[in-house]
Amino acid sequence: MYCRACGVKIGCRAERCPLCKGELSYTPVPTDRYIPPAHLTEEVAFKKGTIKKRRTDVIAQAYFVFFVVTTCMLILINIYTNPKQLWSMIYMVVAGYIYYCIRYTVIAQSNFHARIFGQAIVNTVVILLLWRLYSGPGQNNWILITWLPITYFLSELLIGIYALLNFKEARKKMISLLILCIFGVIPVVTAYVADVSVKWPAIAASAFSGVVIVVTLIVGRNHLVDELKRFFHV
Amino acid sequence: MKKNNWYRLDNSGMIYPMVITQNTQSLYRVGVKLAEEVDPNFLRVALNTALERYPYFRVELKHGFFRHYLDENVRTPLVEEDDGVLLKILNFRQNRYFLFRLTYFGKRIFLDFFHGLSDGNGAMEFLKTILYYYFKAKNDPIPRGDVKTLSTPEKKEEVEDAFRRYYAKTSFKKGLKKMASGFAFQVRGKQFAYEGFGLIQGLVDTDRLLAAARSYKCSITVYLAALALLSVAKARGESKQREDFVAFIPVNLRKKFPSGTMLNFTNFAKCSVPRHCGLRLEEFVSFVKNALKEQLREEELRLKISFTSLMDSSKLLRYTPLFIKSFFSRVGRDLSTKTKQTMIISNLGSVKIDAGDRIDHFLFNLNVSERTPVNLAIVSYNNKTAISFTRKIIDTDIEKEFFSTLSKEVGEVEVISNFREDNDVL
Repeated sequence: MYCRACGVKIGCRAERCPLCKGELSYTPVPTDRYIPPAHLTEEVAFKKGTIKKRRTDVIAQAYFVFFVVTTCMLILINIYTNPKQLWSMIYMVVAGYIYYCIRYTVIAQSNFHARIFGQAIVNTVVILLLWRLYSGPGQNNWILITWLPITYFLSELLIGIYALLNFKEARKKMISLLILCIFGVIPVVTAYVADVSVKWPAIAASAFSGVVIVVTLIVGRNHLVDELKRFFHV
Repeated sequence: MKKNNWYRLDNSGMIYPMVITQNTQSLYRVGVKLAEEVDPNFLRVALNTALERYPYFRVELKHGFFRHYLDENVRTPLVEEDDGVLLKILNFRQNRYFLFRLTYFGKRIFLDFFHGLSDGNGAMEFLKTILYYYFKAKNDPIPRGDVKTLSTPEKKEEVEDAFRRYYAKTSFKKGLKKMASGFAFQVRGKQFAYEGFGLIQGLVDTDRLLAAARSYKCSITVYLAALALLSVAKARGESKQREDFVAFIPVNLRKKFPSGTMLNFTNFAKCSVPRHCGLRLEEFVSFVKNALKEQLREEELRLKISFTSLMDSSKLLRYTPLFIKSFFSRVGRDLSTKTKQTMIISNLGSVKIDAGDRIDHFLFNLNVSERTPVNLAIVSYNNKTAISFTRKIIDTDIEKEFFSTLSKEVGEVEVISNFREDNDVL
């Protein structure tokens, strides 16, 4: 196939010239000779790409817009109706946390242990914020009694299991696990600072962190130095 | 637990991971068209064997505290049929965290490479090794020649940061003055709404192309760069922009500064043509040729090497945490609305592999961005030169101008396209 206007030969199956969008001819110059139809001879050079915006991205963006709009509206309503009690902040924290979950956990490209690590840290921030925003004497300590210890216990357990399942690459999860275990003192510290009524879940979670630290150091002490070297290399 | 290898990113490559977003990555494509349909099973075998020779490509990108690094990836890479979306964003998770993607379609093999890992030369060497083992797996071996195989010992310098080796302390201000350049004429147009770029590739006879270049007393790179800028000038002559036409031409520094590195070792030469010069190819050739000659002087290249090594040489930058560096790199990139180059024109040169008629031609495609929406890549093999325009805009007027002129100068040009513009509808 040829485009006489552009003076080029078309080397792939085409309905029109890719350059000028003009009609194609079977020969560079007019001729009476029989030429077989192009679809029998020309090669398909590239697959017809199915191009679409990733649905997960659309959901995350739509949710972000929804989050911003509703938060602004609720803050305005809150200020006009009852400015002394900032209940709209609770919505902001929870809705913001859901956005984080979608954007950085569900559709993120990072490794599983990195996403769990991020979840645990953000969970801690959300829990502490909610507790500070919405706690009175004897109120909402259940957040600190259950939610915070469970977060650390589950996160460390999941990363630990993931590391065992991928034992060859366990070294790569070690730093995340150790840092998370060091943060594992947060449940017990907050339990005593907030003077919660039931302290044993926090103590158990922090003790579990301690055990994980000891086991990790025993199993992978040689790798830990290497891992730290590469993490902090300049 | 296995003790793994890890690699530092080279001075040039360390900027690319910092500016990765969900929508932009610095990818480029090298590829090949074979004489026969590609067999994916042999391709898988070939890739796995080739990776044993190139352990520094069997890596994943990791965040350190001060900088990114490459950590060994023990997973098995995928070999899949190409989905037709040119230089599609590399989804690390789906790609098993490899920094390259090997795909095939019909007779073509495509290797999409992340620029942080290596430059075009490194990727092409890797592709040659894959091809060597592909033909070997097919029981149709080709001579080894200078292809790196498992029997070629791996040299330490293959993973050296050549920028470090040739770094010489220089005045920061002097380097900045040389590197900082004014803005360039920007190709504008309606851009594709979704991912994937437009591709128009022209295949020409290398001897004829060389003869045409010689008639202007210049090299193929200079000739095609001048012709590309002239095509922009002709196609977009009515634009009110006053900036000069600027081509950024990557220079393979290995030729001037001996190094066997497989990592990045290229730098850009900036070739400007005044906005209002006459629309004659001779004039454009003259401007590009003089600019390139000036920029290829050894002192000039040394200065650029030293400036590129800034991340390593400056203690302040070295000890700044990665998240701060990444933030400022992204902000710096996003704030600028103008471009410093009209077009990037990269010539990989002639690929040397003794595969005879088993290989029809090689191909090479560059990435494009919103501010530089049309780029040109050139590669030759066996007297066939593939000239590929990658674009992010719908218009094809520059390509039309380019190939129409080229066909008048060198004779028959065989054009193919991925007709990306047809797919930009949901």
